[in-house]
Amino acid sequence: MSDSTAIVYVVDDEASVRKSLGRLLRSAGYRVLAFASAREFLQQPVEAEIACLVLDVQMPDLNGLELQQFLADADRNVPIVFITGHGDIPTSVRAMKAGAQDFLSKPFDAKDLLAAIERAHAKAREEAIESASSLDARQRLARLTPREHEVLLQVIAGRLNKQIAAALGASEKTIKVHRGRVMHKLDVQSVADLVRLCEKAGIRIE
Amino acid sequence: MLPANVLFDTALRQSLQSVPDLDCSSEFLDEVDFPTGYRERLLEFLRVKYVEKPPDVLVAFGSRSLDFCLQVRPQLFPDVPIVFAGLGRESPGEPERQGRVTGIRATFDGPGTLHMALRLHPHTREVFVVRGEAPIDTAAAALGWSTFRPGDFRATFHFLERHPLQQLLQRLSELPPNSLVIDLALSGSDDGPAVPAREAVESMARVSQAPMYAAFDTYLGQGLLGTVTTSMQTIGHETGEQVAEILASRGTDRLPGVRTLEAIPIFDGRQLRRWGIRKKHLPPGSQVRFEEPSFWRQHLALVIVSSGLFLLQSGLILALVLQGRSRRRAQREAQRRRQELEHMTRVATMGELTASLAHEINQPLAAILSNAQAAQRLLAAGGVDAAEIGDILADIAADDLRAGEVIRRMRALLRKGDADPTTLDVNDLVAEVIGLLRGEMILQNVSLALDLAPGLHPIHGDRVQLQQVLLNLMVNALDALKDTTASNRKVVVRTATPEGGFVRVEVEDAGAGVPADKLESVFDPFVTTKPHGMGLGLAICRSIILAHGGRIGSSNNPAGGATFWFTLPALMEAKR
Repeated sequence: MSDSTAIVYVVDDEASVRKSLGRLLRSAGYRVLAFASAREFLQQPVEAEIACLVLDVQMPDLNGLELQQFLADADRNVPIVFITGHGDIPTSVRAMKAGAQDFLSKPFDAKDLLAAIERAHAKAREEAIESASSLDARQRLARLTPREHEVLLQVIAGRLNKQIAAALGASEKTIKVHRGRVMHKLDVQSVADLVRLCEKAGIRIE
Repeated sequence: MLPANVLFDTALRQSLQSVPDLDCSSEFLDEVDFPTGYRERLLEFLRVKYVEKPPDVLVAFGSRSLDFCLQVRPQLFPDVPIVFAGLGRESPGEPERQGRVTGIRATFDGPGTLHMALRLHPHTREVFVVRGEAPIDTAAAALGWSTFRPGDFRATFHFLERHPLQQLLQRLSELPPNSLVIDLALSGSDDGPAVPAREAVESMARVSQAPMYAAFDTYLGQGLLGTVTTSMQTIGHETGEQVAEILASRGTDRLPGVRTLEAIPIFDGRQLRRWGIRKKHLPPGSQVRFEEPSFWRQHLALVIVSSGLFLLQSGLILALVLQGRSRRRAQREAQRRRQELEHMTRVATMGELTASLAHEINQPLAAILSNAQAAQRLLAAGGVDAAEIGDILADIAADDLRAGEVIRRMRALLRKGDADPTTLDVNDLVAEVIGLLRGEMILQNVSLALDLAPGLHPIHGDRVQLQQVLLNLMVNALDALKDTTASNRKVVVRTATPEGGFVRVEVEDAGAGVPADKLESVFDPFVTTKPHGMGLGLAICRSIILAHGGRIGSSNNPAGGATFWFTLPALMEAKR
């Protein structure tokens, strides 16, 4: 089931945990990059691949929850599976509320860890695809002229050509031409497709 | 005089049993019987013996002992309060006028004894008073007898000398009817074969044709009928109370005033039956002893008498043996209580550290499980790499030992039992305690700096007790850092060999420090700077370190925070 290109970052100050997790995750087909501290991990250049982070909660210096906060502030959306030597409820609630994928207490069963990593990767993949298509939609929308963009907003708001012409102070015929160019430039066949594309690009529909 | 000493000493110690941390030692002066030069040697002996541990209070039993104490105090124990005891109400002098002297005056009511005896035996015509010759007897004769006028009585008085004893016994066996004997002698007999006082009294009572009374209760039980006196036990007990009072108000200059104890009539129940005196005729408030002579008591008396005879020349040894026994019992009891308390605080400390200990054990457990499951997956996938499986198994074994070690250390600290002193390396102790606290430091985000002196001298001590001291100081240091900023969350543990043959250990934190008014008292029981502290941890640390012959203390650092330190005597000859 695992994705051979997927990366698992392991951040734990305990050498024996890093080593054993490395073995386990490699046996499941992952690429593993292990770090002894949060700072060491942050010095690693950002890779574009599908990745997740297996993160120890209690570490000297910068701890797991602080690293989670730091990554969120830096807009790095890597899904996190927390592991902890001493799990208390307030800590796990805090981690989950801040968007953690999972929270496992040491010692954990390999099955549980691998399932959590699988879910984290699925989420990372989804997010990657979503962000890829959103990028594509935004690039296509960027091809429109300002006037065509104005017409587009009116169309996705569900207005008729006559209403658009009145609103923009142009003839109905001119609007029809603009509208044809928008559909052509964005490579869509129907208004429904057009609406979906705009949603992907993050345009708010009124 | 010796049995009186023992009675007094035992009662004194009993009443002091409730005072914690008290070491009571007795010195028998015995000057009466020893040649010149003895006093100089005795002074030197006392000086050497108490130079390290000067006493808080001196108790002087008897007037000679008081004289001795007053004489040597300026040289040996300046300003140490003296509590005298065993002086009669009427013995001359006012020792309390000398600075820092108080005490207990007893009532040895010789005339009262005589009056009581005459009331109980109204047909008495002749009274025989036995006097001793030893200096101590002359002193005793003065006690309460200064106002004695034979002419005030209807009876005729005869004075008999205790020495020689054979002659005295002869006289006593021939006493006419309606006689009384009052024994004022205190000492034994040293004419011919020497006889201790106890034995002498017993022989006298055995042959006496008349009831015998005495001015003291020391030999009641040896055949004397009764006395009117303050009992030696009461004197010992009251002296103990006064000593406890002085100890409790240490630091102030006030001493309790001299207390005078009343005399009460005391009788031997067996002698009352022998002389046909009914209890309803006794004066009100009388105390009757030996009413039910038990088999045990009869045998005890025999044992004491015969050993007293045997040890005639060196009664000192008898006293020390008796004393040593009761002291050892008290010490054992105190030690048992201390162990209980130590154990209790260890359990409490470990309770505070459960999160940390769980963390320390779960780390290797997590590594073991991941390694084992990785190996299972590798085996299931086929194409087994034996070398890799070997590595995995080696790591599993190492992690298992590590988890076991944490549990072993924990169990050792929770162990209950006697101290087991061995030769220890202080740096190892530090490493072991840090092993238990590592998780706690990570949880609290505290960094640790170790500054351990290489090649430290080993020390001799109990591993668990010393670990407890370090654990306590370190947990305190971590607690002190709870409210500090992240940059101050640092603990330094330092070991060093300063001069003077002591290994020194310091635990330094950068917390708020100890409030100035508590720096002195923080090692006292029930003094704490923590809102939920029991105030026992440091008190126990101190008793452990003192028991190891070391010292413990604390100071605030110039840059903030506190340093707690202790020293332990180094084993010099075994330097590694």
